[in-house]
Amino acid sequence: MLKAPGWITHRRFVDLRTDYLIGVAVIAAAALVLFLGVGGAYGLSVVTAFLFYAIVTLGWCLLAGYGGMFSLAPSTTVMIAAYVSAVASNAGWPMLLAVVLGVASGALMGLIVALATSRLKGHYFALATLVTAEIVRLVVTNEYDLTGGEAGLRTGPLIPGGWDIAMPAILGVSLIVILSGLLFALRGTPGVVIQAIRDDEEIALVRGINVPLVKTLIVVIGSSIMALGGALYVHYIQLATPQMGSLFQTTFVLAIGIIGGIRSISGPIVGAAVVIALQELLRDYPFIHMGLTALAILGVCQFAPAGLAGVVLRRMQAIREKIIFKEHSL
Amino acid sequence: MSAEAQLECKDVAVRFGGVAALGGVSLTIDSGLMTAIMGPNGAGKTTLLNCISGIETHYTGSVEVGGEPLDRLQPRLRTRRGLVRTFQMTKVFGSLTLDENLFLAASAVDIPLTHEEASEIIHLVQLDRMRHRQALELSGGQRRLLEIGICLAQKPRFLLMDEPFAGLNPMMVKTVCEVMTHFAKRGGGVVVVSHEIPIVRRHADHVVVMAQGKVLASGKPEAVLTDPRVIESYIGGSVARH
Repeated sequence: MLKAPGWITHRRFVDLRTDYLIGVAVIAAAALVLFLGVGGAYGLSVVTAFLFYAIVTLGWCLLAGYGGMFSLAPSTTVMIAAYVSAVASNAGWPMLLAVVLGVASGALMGLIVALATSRLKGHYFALATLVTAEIVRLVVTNEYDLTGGEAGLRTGPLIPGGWDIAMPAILGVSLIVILSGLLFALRGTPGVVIQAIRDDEEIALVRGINVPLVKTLIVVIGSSIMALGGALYVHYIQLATPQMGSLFQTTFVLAIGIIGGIRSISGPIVGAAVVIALQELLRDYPFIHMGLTALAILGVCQFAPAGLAGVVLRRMQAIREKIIFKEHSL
Repeated sequence: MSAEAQLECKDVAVRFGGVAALGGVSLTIDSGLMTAIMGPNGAGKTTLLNCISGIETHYTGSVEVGGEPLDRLQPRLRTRRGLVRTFQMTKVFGSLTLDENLFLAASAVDIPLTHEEASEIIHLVQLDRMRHRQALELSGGQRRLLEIGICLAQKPRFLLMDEPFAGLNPMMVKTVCEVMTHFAKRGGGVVVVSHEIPIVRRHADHVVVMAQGKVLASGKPEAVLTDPRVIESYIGGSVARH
């Protein structure tokens, strides 16, 4: 594939820029919460969880939203990366290397899943990932010597004796780097190719695109992003458990993605902010929280399939088109 | 005509269960010419295009371009060998703009496409006004024109078109005819599956009529379209007189 020329990238960049800026604005708002010390240690843990889920959901949206592969195993990737990172750091490996190994394990799992499911599409792909997730979770639960079984595996912090702010800072910077990387990639050839495959996979193949290779790359990159979240976050909660890979965790990621918008780079960030805020506001009323989240998913699916970020983006695009129209009429 | 400039089907046969969709079709398509494939519904015209473009893989016989057999190649690799096609049901990438559709097609076969070349193609298929719109905003006829533009962006050696005139208004039909003529004049080979007898009579250099998975008649349009076997099995007496 050739590098996209300026007459292609310019227009795409203009469209993606707003999306990127919405994401950055939400991250900046979270940083402001930390900076002002709102909520003390509690506020810090909420912001850290928000950033963790935003990273994981961003990775999942690359698969489900951009690649059209509705994986039901995002939490499994997170769990594997968390365990690998925890085991490596417990074995005395440098923390950076432990995190890198965690990310690599997630990428490897993505590669295996991509190769194993290369002929599956739609709900067959989703079911295959669901089965894989359950098998991996059972193996992790029963490999007691290595994983600590149901009780989990304790591990140390990312920076021993470091500041509390280190984890949200690292997660925030990682998120902005990933977001910038996606902005750069999606404005050019990779963005056009991914969009084409999502539109019509078979015709993309006929037109000359190496669809299996592109889909494998999407799964590997998306899994690596999810794994980064797991490999870092495990050193914040300092415990890796099989519950990290549970179906509940997966549905949480799905809820964030669907509410925020799975086909925009800011969607996972907006979704994570909304869902985490809702969770914290209704912490004492878990049933109301679950009910409201379900209603939010249904409402978004019915009235705003592109998610909350999609609604904002469409509004901004309409305003921009109106301005361009006015300029042309003058 | 040199051997490199030929698309050859040698005894191509396909069976769907117990039905012989193609019963050993052999034909040669020269570049620089427009070849029309005609025949009643179910004659195997689209199946033949599917075999040539590699979408249908379960065929026997051989498809060659310039003497190189393509039978083991996937559709995307045949596209890279210069065989591109349009479909009966138009296939474009709806969420991409017209420019992006052209760029993607060219880029997929590693052909650099300049802005000027894209403009020329867009102009050729009369879609200048819609250039920066998403393809899903186009009408059915406009999508068909865009699909042809996408094929041209891949700078093919052979352009295979399945029912390119279906659902088009007279202006659009004229545009498609001009594009095909333009492409053939530049040395490309055009294969067009169509039922439009007046258009074929006017523009085609060579006509192949198929029936029941076999070639019934082949040759110059005047000769083939007045062949009694063709009239009996496909055209019908009254139409032939016109």
